[in-house]
Amino acid sequence: MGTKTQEHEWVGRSNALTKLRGGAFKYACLGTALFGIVTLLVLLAYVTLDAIELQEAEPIWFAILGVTFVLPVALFGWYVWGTPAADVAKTSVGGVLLAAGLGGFFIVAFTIITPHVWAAYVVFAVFPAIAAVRYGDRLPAIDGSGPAVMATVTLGAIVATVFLEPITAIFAMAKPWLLYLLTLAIPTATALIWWSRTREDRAATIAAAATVGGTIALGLLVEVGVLETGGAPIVFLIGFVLPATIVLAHGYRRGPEARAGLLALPTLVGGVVALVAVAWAQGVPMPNSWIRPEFYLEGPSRTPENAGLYPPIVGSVFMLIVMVVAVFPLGVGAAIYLEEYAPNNRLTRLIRINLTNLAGVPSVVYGLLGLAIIARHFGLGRGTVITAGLTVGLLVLPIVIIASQEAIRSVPDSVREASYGMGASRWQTTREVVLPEAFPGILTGTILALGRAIGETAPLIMIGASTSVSSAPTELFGNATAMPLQIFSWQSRVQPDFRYGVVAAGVITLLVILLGMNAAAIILRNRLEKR
Amino acid sequence: MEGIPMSGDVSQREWQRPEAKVRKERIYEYVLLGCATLTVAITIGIIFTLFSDAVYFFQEYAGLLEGSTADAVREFVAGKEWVPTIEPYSYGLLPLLSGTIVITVAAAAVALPCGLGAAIYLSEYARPTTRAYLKPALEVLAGVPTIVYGYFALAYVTPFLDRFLDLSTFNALSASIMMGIMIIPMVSSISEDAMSAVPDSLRAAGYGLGATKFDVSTRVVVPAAFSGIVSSFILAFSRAIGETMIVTVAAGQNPKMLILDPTRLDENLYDSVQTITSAMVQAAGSDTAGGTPVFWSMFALGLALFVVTFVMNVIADVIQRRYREAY
Repeated sequence: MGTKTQEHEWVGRSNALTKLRGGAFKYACLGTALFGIVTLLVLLAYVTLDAIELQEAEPIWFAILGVTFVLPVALFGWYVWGTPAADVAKTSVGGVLLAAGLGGFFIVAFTIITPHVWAAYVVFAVFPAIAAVRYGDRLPAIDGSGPAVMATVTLGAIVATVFLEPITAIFAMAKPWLLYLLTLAIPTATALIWWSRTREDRAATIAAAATVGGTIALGLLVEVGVLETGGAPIVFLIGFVLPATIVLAHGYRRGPEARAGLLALPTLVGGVVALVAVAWAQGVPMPNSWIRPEFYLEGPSRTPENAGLYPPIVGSVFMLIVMVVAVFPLGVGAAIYLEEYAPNNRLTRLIRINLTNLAGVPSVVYGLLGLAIIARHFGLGRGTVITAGLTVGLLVLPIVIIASQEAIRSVPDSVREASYGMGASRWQTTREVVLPEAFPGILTGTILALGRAIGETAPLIMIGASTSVSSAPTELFGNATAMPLQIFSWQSRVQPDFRYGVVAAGVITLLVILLGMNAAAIILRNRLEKR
Repeated sequence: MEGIPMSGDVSQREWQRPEAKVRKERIYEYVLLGCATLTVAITIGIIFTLFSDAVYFFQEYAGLLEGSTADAVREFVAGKEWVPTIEPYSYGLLPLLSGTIVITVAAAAVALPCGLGAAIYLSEYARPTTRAYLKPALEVLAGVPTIVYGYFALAYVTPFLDRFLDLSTFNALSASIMMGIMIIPMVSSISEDAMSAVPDSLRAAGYGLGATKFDVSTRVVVPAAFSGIVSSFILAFSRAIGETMIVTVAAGQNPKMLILDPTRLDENLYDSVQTITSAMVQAAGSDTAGGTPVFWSMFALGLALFVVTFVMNVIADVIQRRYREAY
């Protein structure tokens, strides 16, 4: 070996030096790659500590935490480590947490959309459309009921909007829980069973039954007088129970060995309950966390102790609803055109180039667009929810389109050709073959784009959204408010309790929501694409 | 299925689509085309709004200056003072532009080495498993809302750096560092794509000549991917110029000219500055009624911002395409 290196002196004077240089370069590259990530992690650690004020907790509290929570969780983790149960533990905990988040989203969304308004739109737009689909499928003479369905939906929505007041007055005679049962729980359960019909998936049936049963049970509790209003528990149940049951049932069906993983959830919950109970019994105060229930139930306030994030959360969800309704169909439509229809001509090239350019336009400029065109020319008003939703919607439209394009492009041409070969037209192929295949990708891309939209602040300021809105918006033309806007407004206050307490809690909330949305997008894609 | 008649009269026409069906297909196509064309309408809307309202601003400003519109434009582009809300008003772009340059260059000083190093590591050194974790982790940096970065800069980075340097509460340095971290993935992902596109035969040739991995990375892969790397740098610059919330929150609102004395260049970073974007936010917040020159100045600033970022994006695109080494 030694003689060989001497023979090949031209390779390099000193191998040791070259090796040192190469190693140094490699680790320098790794270091630069990690620099940003590590900085972010350190900052996140700081802000988390500030948000829950862990540094002010008493040592005895940490002892209780260790015994009641950390130790059981660690033991459980050690027990299932490396077995199939670990996988079930991960998916069940993650899935149930995400389901709880979805339930929370449902609660907020249905404080904006009252049960009567919801029922009005479902009864007048969705039910007739479903009827049209079913009827159209049975008639051999009618070739696809597409236009009829579209017309029914549009017409129904217009009727419901125009006659909203008398319709809601009629529906107001029914109990809210009954409306939810008829227009939300049963349709959701039916859709789930119908969707899973071909998949031999008993989990979906169980989940559907649990949803309907749970709704009826809650409704009865309202009737008996145990619960005051059934609305929030029912929508939470529908948002939470369906996905949670499916996740747990899938975990259960992984076999007896993996089933132990399902105990992860009781271990975690039990740990928290034991922690609170023991601390209370021993008289040890919990850390004075800024993240507490009141923080999500109250409005902004002058005093940090009373400041809450409720109106901004409602505002953000309201904006999300506007965006989904306005942008999702447009983005998917544009993507379908570009991938399935577009001929190779000048217009198509222009649209493609324009799309990449739009993605690079700064967000403040979109704010100006919203201010001048949407707020002023269309007359939707400065700082209203609808202006805010449409402005940020336009901002993320290119992202939705590009993500949908990628999803559609990944559908292999062979399935299209098979469909054409059977005599299907282009639209039939798109609707029946391409879109179902591309749907997981489109959904993922849209959720990611919406996550980006939730964090946007600058366009909201530019369209004139007030930074001091103290009540949640209830209508489309109400004053917009959003989580990042509220954080912007809070961070300008100099009191340390605001800067390192309330804002930290707000930042953590925003980041957790974003994390949840991204995780949900990725999990949905992985799960749906596996099938 | 529906078109096949029950009896056996398969005529010639069965093989063609009925006219009604063709018409229906057309309708779908036009609706979808409408969706796609809307994206062009957005661009047209942006350009139209910015130009028409910026022209209105220049006319108003000309009235204030008691000169012609051309004078107003000249004052705007070459003016050295930005006093938007207190009389006598003065709308000079240069202080804001210099603030933008300070922040962008400092952010690039963080992002370019980090992004390039990360790209080299990901493309040349990382094992597949490392890559599978490192790449998404880097992408997370671009997904954190900018308001959060701004808050980090103001509440944590500035107090930390204040121990070593003489910083004011609002300063360009911590805003730049946070912005640099935010644009790292922009540099790393585009550069890495360019490096991964370098064919292995070039690497193999390098190794065949007895080169080390270091030599191959720095003298073969990086030069071969140079156009992609430069293009990623320009896109990162463009992103930094358009970034708003970090600078609004952490860099303050003090429009001041760049210190050009070579020995005191670093002092640009220690004090509060104002960028084009944060001036726009301030203008939007200072005039809620609309109708004063401050309000319209937003559109002139927006036009300047749009033109600069648009030109940079186009240059990046051209470099990536025209100067690409084709293999």
